[in-house]
Amino acid sequence: MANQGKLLRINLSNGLIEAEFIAKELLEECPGGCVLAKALARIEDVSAENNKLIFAAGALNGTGAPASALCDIAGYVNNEIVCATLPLHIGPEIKFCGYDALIIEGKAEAWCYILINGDDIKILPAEEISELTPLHTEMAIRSQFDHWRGNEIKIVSIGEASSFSSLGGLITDGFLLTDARSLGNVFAEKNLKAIAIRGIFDLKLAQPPKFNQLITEAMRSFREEKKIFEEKFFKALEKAHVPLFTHIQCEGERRACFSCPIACLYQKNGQFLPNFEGAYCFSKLMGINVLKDALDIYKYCFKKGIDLFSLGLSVRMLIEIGRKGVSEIYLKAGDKEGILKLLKEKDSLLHKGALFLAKEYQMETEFEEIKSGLERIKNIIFSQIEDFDKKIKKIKPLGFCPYILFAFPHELLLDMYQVAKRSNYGS
Amino acid sequence: MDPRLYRMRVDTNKCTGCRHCEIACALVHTDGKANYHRARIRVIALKDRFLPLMAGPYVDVTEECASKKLINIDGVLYDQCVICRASCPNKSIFKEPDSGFPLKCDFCAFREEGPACVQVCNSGALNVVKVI
Repeated sequence: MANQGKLLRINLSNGLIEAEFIAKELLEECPGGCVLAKALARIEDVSAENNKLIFAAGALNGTGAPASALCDIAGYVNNEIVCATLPLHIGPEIKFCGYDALIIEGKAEAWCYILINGDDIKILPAEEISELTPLHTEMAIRSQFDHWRGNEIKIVSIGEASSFSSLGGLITDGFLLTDARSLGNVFAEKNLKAIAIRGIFDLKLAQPPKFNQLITEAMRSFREEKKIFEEKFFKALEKAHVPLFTHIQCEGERRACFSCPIACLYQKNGQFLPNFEGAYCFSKLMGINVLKDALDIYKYCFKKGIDLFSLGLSVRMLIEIGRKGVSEIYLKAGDKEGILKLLKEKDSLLHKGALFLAKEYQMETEFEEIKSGLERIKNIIFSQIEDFDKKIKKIKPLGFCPYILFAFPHELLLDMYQVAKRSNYGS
Repeated sequence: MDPRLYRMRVDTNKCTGCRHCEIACALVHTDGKANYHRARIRVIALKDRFLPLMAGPYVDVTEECASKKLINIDGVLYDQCVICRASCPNKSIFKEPDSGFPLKCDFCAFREEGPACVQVCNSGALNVVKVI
């Protein structure tokens, strides 16, 4: 198995930290981070009362399989269990700590952060860093270590907004998640400022030579056909008509999640720029298509830890409310100054969230329509792949990022999972 | 592949920071243990770029090594030993996490295909070049 077979339970109320085995059957049934997080959430009976947070890394996380670095967090928000996806390196680090999942329960008396440094696990006071921006929080945590170790520590944290706004987001290693599903607010409810992880343990594969061979061949063919892949992938993104993302591509340098050949994230001067979904939020939800305006809002959101998708929905709801004339509130599409002004007012309607606005102004139908827009756009992108829905259904539960379908056939991805997991594969 | 005849060319402008090279290195040098702490190549994140560093072969470096000083990159002070491919026998940077044994890049001499890190590098940041 490419799983570690254990989970780490951390109780912030009483400080108890325990490792527990995960049933082999559960890991086989739930190979990907998202399915595992949701299954554990059901088993743990996650609710508003116990307010548990569950981090789950999939079987392929950390193995070097392409585009399999995504880690999922499940929690209870707005009367349902929600799941957000963390990109970059935090998932593999959980695996290298010797776990497949983390369960964080209880509530700390004062602001704290969790430091998992191999087998050294601590709940540390965070009073001094509680008001820092996510970027400064990361720097403060890393500064306790030498450069190498600081470089190895991967962090997920929240900003100030999670304490007063329903738009609270999550930041991981300098990247603001586009859709954190309001889990930043769950962090704040627990007085949890950040989780910092550095793994040191081995992750064993079932059939390393076969796995290596598959990966090496896959990467060779990827390199040989990289141009074809890029044309296909970026043409598909263009079909979604988010011109702002084209500007971002021109401005930034490409960055990748752990062992991902696609590298669909962008950085400029060491700072992440919005990803495709983020650009969608600015362009289609807020009506902002000028890169400078989008970046001004993005920088503010990053500083305060504000979720882009939640913000986009709220802004769009306010625009729709104004258009319908059901209230005197009026926000124009593309009004950067108006959005920033409302963001800076802690008690503004924008911070109440789109769901609140929908209920308050009886616009639930419009809300659902707006909310599903991103999914519709993604369907347009993936429709460039034949039978995309069937293929995504097969590879997503294994923990692969669906964009990888533009690079590799889904059969190859299924093979990678089998080789990493089964010891009797091919026999 | 004879390491005496080849060098690794690193293009930091192309590195995307995916660290696939680290895992590929660890996997071929161990019996299937995915653990970047066992890799002979490590990707260090600087302010606006990534720098893949190889643990180079041992060279004749004495106590009076000229590179043994601090350098300033983007306002952060680095021990230059970190940047010099860990080639110093006095200060091995990459060590086996359990035994402390120093790790040195062998260009995957035991593999016909050449270095594993280069093979999985999809961005073109790592290349092998013949020097003779």
